[in-house]
This record gives sequence, structure tokens and C-alpha cells, in this order.
Amino acid sequence: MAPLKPPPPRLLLNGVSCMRNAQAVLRDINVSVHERTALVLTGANGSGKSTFLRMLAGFSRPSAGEVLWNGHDITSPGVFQQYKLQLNWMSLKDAVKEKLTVLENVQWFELLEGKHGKSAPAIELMGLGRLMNEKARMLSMGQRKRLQLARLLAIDRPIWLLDEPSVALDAEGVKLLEYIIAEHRKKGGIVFVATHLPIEIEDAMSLRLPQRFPRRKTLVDLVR
Amino acid sequence: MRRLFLEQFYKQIFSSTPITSFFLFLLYIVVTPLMIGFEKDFLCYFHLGLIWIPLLFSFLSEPFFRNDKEFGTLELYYLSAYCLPKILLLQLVGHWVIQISCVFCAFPMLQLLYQFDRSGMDWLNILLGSLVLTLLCGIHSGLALGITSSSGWNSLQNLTTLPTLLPLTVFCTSIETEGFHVLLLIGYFFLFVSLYPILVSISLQD
Repeated sequence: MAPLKPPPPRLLLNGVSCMRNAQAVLRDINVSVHERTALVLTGANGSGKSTFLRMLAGFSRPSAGEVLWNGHDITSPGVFQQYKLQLNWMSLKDAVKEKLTVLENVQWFELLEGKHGKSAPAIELMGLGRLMNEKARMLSMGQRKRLQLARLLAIDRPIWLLDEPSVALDAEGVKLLEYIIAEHRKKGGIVFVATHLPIEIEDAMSLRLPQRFPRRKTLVDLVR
Repeated sequence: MRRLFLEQFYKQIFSSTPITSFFLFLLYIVVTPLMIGFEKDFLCYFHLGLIWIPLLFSFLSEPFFRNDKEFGTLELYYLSAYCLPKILLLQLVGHWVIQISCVFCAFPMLQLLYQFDRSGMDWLNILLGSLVLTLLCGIHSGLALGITSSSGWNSLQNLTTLPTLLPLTVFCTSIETEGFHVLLLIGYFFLFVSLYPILVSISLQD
């Protein structure tokens, strides 16, 4: 009997480096991501966590190496047009229009996907049901983050790129975030999370990015 | 689905289109006769120029895509299934529709003060001209997205926009060559069509 082969990775990063403002932020990153996998990015401020996610989202191009999706390089235009439809992007910018209602803020992006009907259940799940018809300017920072998560659920794409998703969330909100991540992985989804705050993700891979500028040695270090 | 999309699109455009630019336009067309005088012969002869200048100023004050970039909406548009150039173009055209509707609402005042509806070419001139102004200002707004300094944005925006709009303004304010206006505006429209893909790629530079 032939030995069973492991499934091919959904996303593969081979020796990837990325520059931002003429500085090498990421160097020689090698990551293999399969289905139902979560990758948690940790590191100091300025170590390139957000740059890593933006590179995966296609906003920046890798300066070296290659990023393969199903074995195809995502930097080629034809592959990227298919690849970007798999992505769900969430960043510190909440993309909330204050003059629209909570429902309209989620529904607009759902309609751009050609879908309809998932906005209201997603908003209910995130605990904003009673604020569904209120203007978005009434929301607090935590409620805005919940609105982003509701949009994430309404669009429902396989690969989630989450940049600091638990910022401004309370304890109940963090549990909700952990719940939706777990449910997303059960469906075969992939999650990339860049965070400073602890998030309990079961069987998550961790990638600690080094500091961009190594600390200079001082006399104290020399004495030691 | 289509009806709901159009309804949402209208709300998106209307919420992001400030009405202050139209009030600026209205203020100009009301105050100008007060300064120059109400001689019908004079206003009738120069009415295109007097209308074009406030229309130009009202469009220059519009930061079309800046709010979308600052709030992160542009990134979500980029990754959506809908085509990003189409979304941006729909925003520009939606803005133009709202703006020109406001001008139509001010039609009685234009007719009363400027004898505006003297010939049918005037309306066609305003329609095409405002569309070209919207598209060109959209290009410059997109090019200016990469500037991070908020204090420098306004001055650089106007410096780059005015030279390209100057031929349009000079020729379209002349009353003797009304037929030539349409050809000139069509030429500007083709210029925009050729530059639009470049606009989209540059506006997304990180």
C-alpha cells in the first residue's frame, strides 16, 4: 500500500521579503498554510505584522520570494483576480459610514458580492440587533469593531486576514470573536490574525516576527 | 436585488456628497449680478463665463476618494467581487448626477438673472462640461491620494488641477463658439477614458 501523502498547502510562502518605504520590513518568511489552519502573527511594534497581512491581501508586492495560492503565484494578474475573491479583509480602519445605518453599512458590501440575506443574522449574532436601524455615528469603538465582524460574517469568504481584531472589544466580544473563528475553521477556512492581545485559538500556528531594528549593545551588555 | 442595489448605491453616494458645493455655486450666481449689475445685455453676453467659474470652483472643493481611503473603504472595494474601476466611476457619475440636478433646480434663477435658456446649446454645454469637470477632478483626486500631509493636499490639488482645466474654461466661456464646445468636451472625455485605468492603479499605491 502506498503511503498517504499530506494534502497540498492552500497558501505557501517561499522566502518572502517585503519592503515598505525603502526599508526591508519582512525578511525570508517561509509559511505553509493548509485548510482549517490559523496563523497568529506576533511581534513588537513595527515588526511587520500589518505589512504581512497587506502583502497577502495584495496591497503590497513581495520584493523577493513568492506567494503561492493553490500552487499559483498570486502576483500574476489572472491568478490574483481569482485569489482576491477568497479574501476577507479586516483592518484598524473600520470603513463605516456614519450617515448610514448599521444594517446599511453591512448590506452595501454584501450587495457588492452579489449576495443578500446574511446581513441581519450576522448583526444579530454580534449583539447589535437592537441597533440595526440606528445611525452608525451612535456606535462606540467596540460596537464599530462588532460591526466589522458582522460584515466579515455576511461576506463569508474562505481566507480571513484580521489585523488587530480584538482591539476595543470587551470580554464577551472576544469570546464571540473566538467563536466565529472556530466556526470558520470548521468549514475549512483559513485565518491570519495579527494581534497584541491574547486570543484563544485552538491549535493555532504562531509566527513571531523579529524586530526591524536590533537593539544596539550598550555598556551594560558588554559588562555582562 | 437590483432595486436594493440601486437604493443602497444612492444612499452611499448621497451620504458622501456634501451639498455645500452646490450652495457655493448658488451663492456665486446670486452675488455676481449684485456686484456687476442687472443689465440684461451685459449678463446675457457673459453668462456662460459667469456660470462656468462658480461651477469650476464648486467641483474643485470636492475630495472625491479621500474619505474612502482614510476610512478604509477603498481597500474593501478593491477586494470585492465588484470591479473597482466601476465602483469609482459610479461614484463619480453619481456625484455628477446629483450636482447637475441641483443646477436644474436652480434653473429659474439662472433664467431670470442670466437669460440662460437663450439657445439649446447652453444646456448641452453645461451638461457635458460638468461631466468632464467631474471626471478630471476625479483623476486629480485619485492622484493626490498618496499625499499623506493633509495641509499640503489642498494646495497641490489645485495646482495640478487648474492647468488642465484652464483650456476647458477659457474656450467654454466664449459665447461665439458654442458649437465648438461640444467637440472640445468630447475630446476631453476621451482623454479621461484613456487616463482612467492609470488613475485606478495609481490610487491604490501603498
